Amino acid sequence: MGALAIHVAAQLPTIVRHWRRERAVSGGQVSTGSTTAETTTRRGFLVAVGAGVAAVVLLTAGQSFRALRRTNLFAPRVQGLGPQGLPVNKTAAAARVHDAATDPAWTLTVVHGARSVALTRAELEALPQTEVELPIACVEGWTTFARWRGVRVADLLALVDAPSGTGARVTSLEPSGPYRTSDLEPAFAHHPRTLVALELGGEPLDLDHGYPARLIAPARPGVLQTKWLTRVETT
Amino acid sequence: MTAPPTPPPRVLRTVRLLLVAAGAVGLGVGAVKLTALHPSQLRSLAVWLVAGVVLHDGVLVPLVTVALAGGGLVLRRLAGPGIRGRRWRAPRGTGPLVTSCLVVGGVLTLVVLPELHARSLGAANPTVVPGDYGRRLVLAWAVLAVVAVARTGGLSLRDRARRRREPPAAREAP
Repeated sequence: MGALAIHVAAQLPTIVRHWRRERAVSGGQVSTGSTTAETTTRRGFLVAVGAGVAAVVLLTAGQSFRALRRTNLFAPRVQGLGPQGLPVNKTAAAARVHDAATDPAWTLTVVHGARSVALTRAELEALPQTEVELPIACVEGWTTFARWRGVRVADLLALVDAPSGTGARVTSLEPSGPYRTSDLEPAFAHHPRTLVALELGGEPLDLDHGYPARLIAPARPGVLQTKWLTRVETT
Repeated sequence: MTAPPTPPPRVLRTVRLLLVAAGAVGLGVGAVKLTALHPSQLRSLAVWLVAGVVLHDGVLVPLVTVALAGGGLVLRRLAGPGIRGRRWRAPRGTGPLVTSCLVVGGVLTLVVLPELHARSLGAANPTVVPGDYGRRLVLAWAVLAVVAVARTGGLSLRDRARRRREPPAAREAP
């Protein structure tokens, strides 16, 4: 962007001269597109570029926009394709969490300073549940909305007496990887639609969608909706 | 019609200064942000930037240049001496039409090539690149070819009909 602005600044006199001359020429006489170099007229160029853009939008945008899903021939993702109707980026197998995530002894540890509680999945299910309609919006370019149900992160933080100004860090069972943890600013952590989700579309989460529990919050890129949670701590 | 007045140099200079200042701030912010990246990310960034230029100037531009020059050569020869005694004058409007079709096909090909590469490496899971993109791309090019041929035929018929209506003398002096 910076380089572009400087480039325009350097070429500005040329640009101004070009448009002035154009207007002076077309002022008195009819000026249609050139007939000699038909392929390079401005109109031809705009039509070609417009057609290219329209074709790509029509044939790929269906991965994120329901209205165009029938003409989605070339996008790398397909709406509704995947376990529970939702595409997957990193599977449980790829994250090497299968054994830890299916262990019946799994608990979610919530920590604030010296206070901590460990909750089994059954204990999480017994807490007040909230249902939200939120998207997985991947920075790769695809977006799919889904119905999630689970426990508010704010409610979990209240269990360990965390004050409302605290942020939170969630940690995955994943042994490694750049998105093993993610941080929630205080406003995110205490937002009523920020959940530790247990269900997706009315069923328990699929293992590839983060069973036994995952983060789902508004206005976050997909990779930060951490899956296979093991720990929530205040920051 | 008098020539429009040139803009006062002061205005021009101010706009240029503002643009340079905004650009410099943008570059500065970018440079600061770069320091936050991991060395491996910096390496990938460098590869990505250099590869973009190399692919554009080394592959894309020569391909497009050869395709356009070749197409123009064939059309001119057809219209002039003809090929094996056959002459055919492309109707007006063929150029932009064929260019548009080539641009659409080219852009779709650029979208599909990385997907074919990803499929050849093996997708990470069944929800990634699930389509039969190669066959669909061939289909898209076929549709474009049909559109180009049909539309050129239509334009050609229209031109012939017009030539028949108009006396030959009128045609010579456009």
